[in-house]
Amino acid sequence: MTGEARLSHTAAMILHSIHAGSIYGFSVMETTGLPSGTVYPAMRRLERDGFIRSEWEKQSIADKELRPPRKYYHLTKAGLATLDSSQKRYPLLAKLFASSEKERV
Amino acid sequence: MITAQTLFGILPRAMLRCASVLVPEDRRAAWLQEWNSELWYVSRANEAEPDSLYEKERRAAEFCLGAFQDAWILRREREPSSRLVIRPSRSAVRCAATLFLLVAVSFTCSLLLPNVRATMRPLSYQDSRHLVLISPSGTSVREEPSMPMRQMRLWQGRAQHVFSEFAFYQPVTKPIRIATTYTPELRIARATANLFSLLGVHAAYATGRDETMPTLLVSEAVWRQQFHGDLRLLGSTVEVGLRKARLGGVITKEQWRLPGAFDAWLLEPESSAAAISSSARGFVIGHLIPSDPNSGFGEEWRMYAPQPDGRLGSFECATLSSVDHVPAGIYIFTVLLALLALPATTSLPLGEYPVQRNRISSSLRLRRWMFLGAKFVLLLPLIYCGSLDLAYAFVVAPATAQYIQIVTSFLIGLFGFRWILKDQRKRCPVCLCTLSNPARVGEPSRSFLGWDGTELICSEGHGLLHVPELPTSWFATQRWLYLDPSWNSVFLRSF
Repeated sequence: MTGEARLSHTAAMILHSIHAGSIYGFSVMETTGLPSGTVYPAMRRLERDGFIRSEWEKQSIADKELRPPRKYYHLTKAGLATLDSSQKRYPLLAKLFASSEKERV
Repeated sequence: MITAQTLFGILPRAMLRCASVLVPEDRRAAWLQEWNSELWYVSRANEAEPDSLYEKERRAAEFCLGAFQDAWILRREREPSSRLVIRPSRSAVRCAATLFLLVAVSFTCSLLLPNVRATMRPLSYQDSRHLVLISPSGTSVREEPSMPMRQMRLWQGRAQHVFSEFAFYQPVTKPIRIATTYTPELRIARATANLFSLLGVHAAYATGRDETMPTLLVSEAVWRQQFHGDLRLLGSTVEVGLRKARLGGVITKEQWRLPGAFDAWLLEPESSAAAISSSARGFVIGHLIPSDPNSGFGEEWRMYAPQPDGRLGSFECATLSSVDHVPAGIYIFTVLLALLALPATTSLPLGEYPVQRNRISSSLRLRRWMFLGAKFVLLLPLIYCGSLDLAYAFVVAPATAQYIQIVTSFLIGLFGFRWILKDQRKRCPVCLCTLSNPARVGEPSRSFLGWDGTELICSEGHGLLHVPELPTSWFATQRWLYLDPSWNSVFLRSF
């Protein structure tokens, strides 16, 4: 996939969310307000198209904190390039995530 | 005891487990692990909220519902796209619908035609397994009255071990006089008084019996046409020929299933049984004594019994239940005969279809066989109802109707099976559409190291069918060739 790939609004939201630090499914849901039935299939498609990659947390870390391990998602180079182009396409979306990051700071 | 909290805790996990069934097996474990992990965090987030237990669990369940959507999308992405697109062609659906329509029409005709309806209904006689029609051996047609009355009287006068009771009826033709008017000549069965009681038949609108006068029972048609359905006439005196008789009731079409078609039945009272001449020829019904030795006779057997001249005579015995099974027996026999004759009219193989897993899925192959099976399944009732309709639509002697049924059932079966195989062979195995654009290929004079025959093509672009002109050792049956996707652009509708 190239950086010229055109994403849907939902996919762009999820990419922005992951880029902003929501690196697992439930946090993406909370950030975007999208339901689980939309978020998880969209993340799978983004992973299939090479915009994001996933990795399981080490079991030992999860065991120390007495919780199940999580599956984390990160943007790939292609994903970052697509994110840049989607910011031009959805400027309000970029502003929204930029402002939410400021609020967190 | 299961509390609401425990139940709510189990429910989301059960939902995830159910949804995981949709996920392809190789990805199921990882998929379930991720959703279970996420559910744990959802539950933790819910615990922090001040909402009621119900509200918290509703959110958890809502989260899990998304798992079904995710699982379904995963499944659809895994399935080959061709499986979703290919549907049976209109011609296949139309073919099955036409067959179904023919079955419906023939079955409706069977229900509407009174003779056919009566034939299809099971025999209404009580104990028909022990009621036996007795006729002299050598009389090929049971429809002809061939038993003399004196024969039955001889048997009645002797100690019986096989039969407990006999009834006799003789066909005669006489007009009936009602008041001052005469009916046309009617077919009348002059019978012993016990005929209908032996059969267990009770006449409609029947009145009490008069032991001194014969009782006349009439068919529904005569009751309507000659007596105008006037119930006040029941019990009145009519004249049958020169004899007076009392009108006793009506016998429906379904109630008379014995040999002979009659308009009326004249039951002689027991006191004047001698009124039927000893030389009169008719039909004899015997009631078989239910016993172990007698049950070994089966449905049809030959019996040797004394005759009035002192010699032993040979008699054919057939239970009425066996007579009732005749149409079904003819149907089974002719269908089997048609199947046996089928190889003489067309070749049985459906052709060679190379197995290519990537080109045709198991469900498509199954659909092709199901289409073939459906045609056979629909043809079978069509043979039965169609042959009965043609055989029994008009009032003819039962023996004639049986001959007509044999011929029609065999012909419909033979040509029907032949059509099914020929139709199946000229259909595309993928979309089941009828192949088109036949093209002659090769020359018969140059068949060495080559072949000549006809090529047909699927209009959807699924493949080509090669049909050899002359079957040879290297090209015996027709061959199907799947076209690869590079041909798709040639066809208007391709997959």
